[in-house]
Amino acid sequence: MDKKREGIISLAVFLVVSSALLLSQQTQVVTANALRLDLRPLGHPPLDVIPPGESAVTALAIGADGCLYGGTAGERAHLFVLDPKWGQVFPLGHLPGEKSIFHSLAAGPDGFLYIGTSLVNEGRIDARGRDVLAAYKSYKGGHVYRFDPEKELNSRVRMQRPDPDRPLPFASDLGVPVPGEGIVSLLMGKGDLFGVTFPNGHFFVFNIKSGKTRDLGPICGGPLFEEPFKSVPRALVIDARGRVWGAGDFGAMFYYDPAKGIIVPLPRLGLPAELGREYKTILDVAVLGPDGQIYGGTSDGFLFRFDPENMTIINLGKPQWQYRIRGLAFSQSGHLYGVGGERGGVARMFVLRKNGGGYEDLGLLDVNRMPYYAWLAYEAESMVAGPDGTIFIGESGRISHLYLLFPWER
Amino acid sequence: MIGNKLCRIILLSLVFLPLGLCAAGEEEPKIIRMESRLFPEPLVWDSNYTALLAASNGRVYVGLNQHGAGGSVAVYDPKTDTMRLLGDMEKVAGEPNRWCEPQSKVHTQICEGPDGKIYFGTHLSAFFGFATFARPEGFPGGHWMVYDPKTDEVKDLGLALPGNGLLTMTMDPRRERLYALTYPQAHFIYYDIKTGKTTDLGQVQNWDAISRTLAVDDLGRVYGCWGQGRIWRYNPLTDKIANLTIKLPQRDAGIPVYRAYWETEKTFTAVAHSPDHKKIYFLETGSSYLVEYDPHQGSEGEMKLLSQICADRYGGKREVPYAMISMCRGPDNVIYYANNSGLADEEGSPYWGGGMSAAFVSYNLDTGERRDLGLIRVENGQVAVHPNAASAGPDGTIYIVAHVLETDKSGRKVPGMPADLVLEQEPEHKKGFHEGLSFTLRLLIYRPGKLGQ
Repeated sequence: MDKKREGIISLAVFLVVSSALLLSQQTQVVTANALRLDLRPLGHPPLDVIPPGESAVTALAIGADGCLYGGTAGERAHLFVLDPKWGQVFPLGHLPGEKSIFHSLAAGPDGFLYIGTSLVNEGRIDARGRDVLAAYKSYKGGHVYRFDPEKELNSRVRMQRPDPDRPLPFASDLGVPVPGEGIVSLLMGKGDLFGVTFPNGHFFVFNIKSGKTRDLGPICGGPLFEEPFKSVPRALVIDARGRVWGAGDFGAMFYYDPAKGIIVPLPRLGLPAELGREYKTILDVAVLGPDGQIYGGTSDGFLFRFDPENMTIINLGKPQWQYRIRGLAFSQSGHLYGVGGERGGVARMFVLRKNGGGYEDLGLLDVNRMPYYAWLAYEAESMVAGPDGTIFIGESGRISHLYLLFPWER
Repeated sequence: MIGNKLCRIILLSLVFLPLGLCAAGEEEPKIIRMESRLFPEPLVWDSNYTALLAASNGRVYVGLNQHGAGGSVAVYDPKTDTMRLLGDMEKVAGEPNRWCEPQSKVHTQICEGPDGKIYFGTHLSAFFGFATFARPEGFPGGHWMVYDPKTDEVKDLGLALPGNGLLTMTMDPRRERLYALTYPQAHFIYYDIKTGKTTDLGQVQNWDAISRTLAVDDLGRVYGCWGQGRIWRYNPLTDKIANLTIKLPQRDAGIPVYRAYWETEKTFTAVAHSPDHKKIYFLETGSSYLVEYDPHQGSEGEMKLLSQICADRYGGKREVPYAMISMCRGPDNVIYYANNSGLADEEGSPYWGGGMSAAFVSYNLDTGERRDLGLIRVENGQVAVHPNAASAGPDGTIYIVAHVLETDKSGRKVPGMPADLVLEQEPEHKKGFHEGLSFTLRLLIYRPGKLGQ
């Protein structure tokens, strides 16, 4: 190499590095297995997507047809579908006048999808600093809708483009279960929908055949000390015997007995919490495990296992430093995947392997497929496992995406 | 063996630079000479970004960054040819010596209010890939700041968005609002000067591709880029952001020189405005296209490609250096752009091609004449590299912040550059190349028609 050339090359190297001074931003973000994480925009960009400000994915469910359905929150509440055979998100339309589908998508064995609506407040914590109840003064209450996926699919013309601006077709309004209250959790039982409302934490049973509601009243008490809100659970779960489980004030569990039609409070059965913070405990998420036990996450960020037969709770500790476990789903191999993190923080995934060994931190929801697409999610509010084992994670920011996690063995 | 070779390269690189210049190209490269001024405490500052304003009274304000400690703002008075600092932003923000990431940068565009006050914001430096984000030891958040030239005081206007730095900022003087984008969360926020209230409108872009600059039109609408060169628009009348589908003119193929393959986001780096703000001039990243945007044409405005304003040697080629922020419009209605350039056409891959020097290009908006004014040299023939910001003074003087190579090794050492400034994670074999190289950050002064080639 001649000296002149060396001079040029060495300086070129310097420039390559120094040019980064102005314009570089790191792209190396920690994700445990980048090849196992992908994302989908909520539609076909740039035009036919659920718009920013309306796209926070706050509910996910697998329909009887094996498709993934998602509900959003924001200026408008949208419903979307992802058919695993196709692999793309198809926005189905929005529910006129509705703001949020929060943890309230329930798939019926009849093939219908049941939707509960609410205002945008996520239960209570994330509305801190605002008078959340002001919005409820004129609120008539969240509705239950029944959506017919088959009719919608058959109505599509060839090569139909998705249209997030259209009202959701083939959706029937089944009414307002609890007047003045939003629906913040909805679950399908045998012929009945079970739900919880905000702000007053009513538990209701909605019969999908008769369309009648039984309002069993609040499952949590009055305002909590310095906070004006109750511990309204953000999840319900059904055990093998058909009992519906949740948690109210001080994270104390309760269950609804469908045979007797009553709620049984269990004030001594409290969810894990940091000592002294028990009064703030909220059930964030719960799933039924393959072992028949219930696995749940709390607002303090604890994971727990609950045996509904022995009525015992095992605290499985905190998989991350942030508060809130916001999504849980089992892989086909029986490993428990989760996502959590606070408002204003950065969401992290984790897995608890079925054979023990502690938690594995799976890192951030960062997908970098540049130059094609790249996105990092700061918050995620929902998680569900699909029939093929794919775990879907719903981002819940102003601009949101659907994340696809393909589980792997250690 | 390899180590010896590298050492030789390093030692010879500066000595043989002039020879390299001659040998690499067949012609003597065109040179444009500029004055330069060192900033106070010249070995402290490592970067600048968009923070440069030649104010209406002729004074020049420059944001100065240092990684790991407090940033500052320098004021240059061309009448007295003096420069001074406005203080340590750590102290101004009331956060000195905290056990957390410091207010180490003034990154934002510096803006002048109708009353002559100077507004800017503070930013973080060593970002650790979200390792400390939203944690107590992380960055508390950037502050809105104002400097009043009448009282000579910098005042902290408060925290903008927790955990986020103020990456870039612009102003609507009529509404007396500061608009900013934050890093890393890419939130669009604004500060109402009259009420002192900050409003957060949420995320507008992914964290790795946040718009470097923002533009404001004559109606007070604010523009940024949201992906694939598309524009978002904030309307103050509705207080909403809309993603437009109109795109910057771009080439689909080609990876800009000095940019990694996976970082080729398509956006604009620099903006300039017509005097009435009815037209906006964007500098596109990948090809250095100068684009005139008329926001009043149709529902989304109209884009018009004016010219490619990279150095001549890159015109029409596949490999073009990644566009810098150092572009401004002078009172003579000429766009001035200091860019990265090679010394000559060289062999090698696009990523590694080119030598090193800042170059200077102008484009006359009245006549459409584009001129490559040459490679920038300052006093003693020293080489200017890596231009940051640019601004035009009311008398037509063009100011640029750039790094200047110190041939006597008296500047800041290149190997000491903080890790977060490095474009990609450097393999071991590259690290040795920087030994012996040093630079200082300087204010470059170009007086059109007075200094020449």
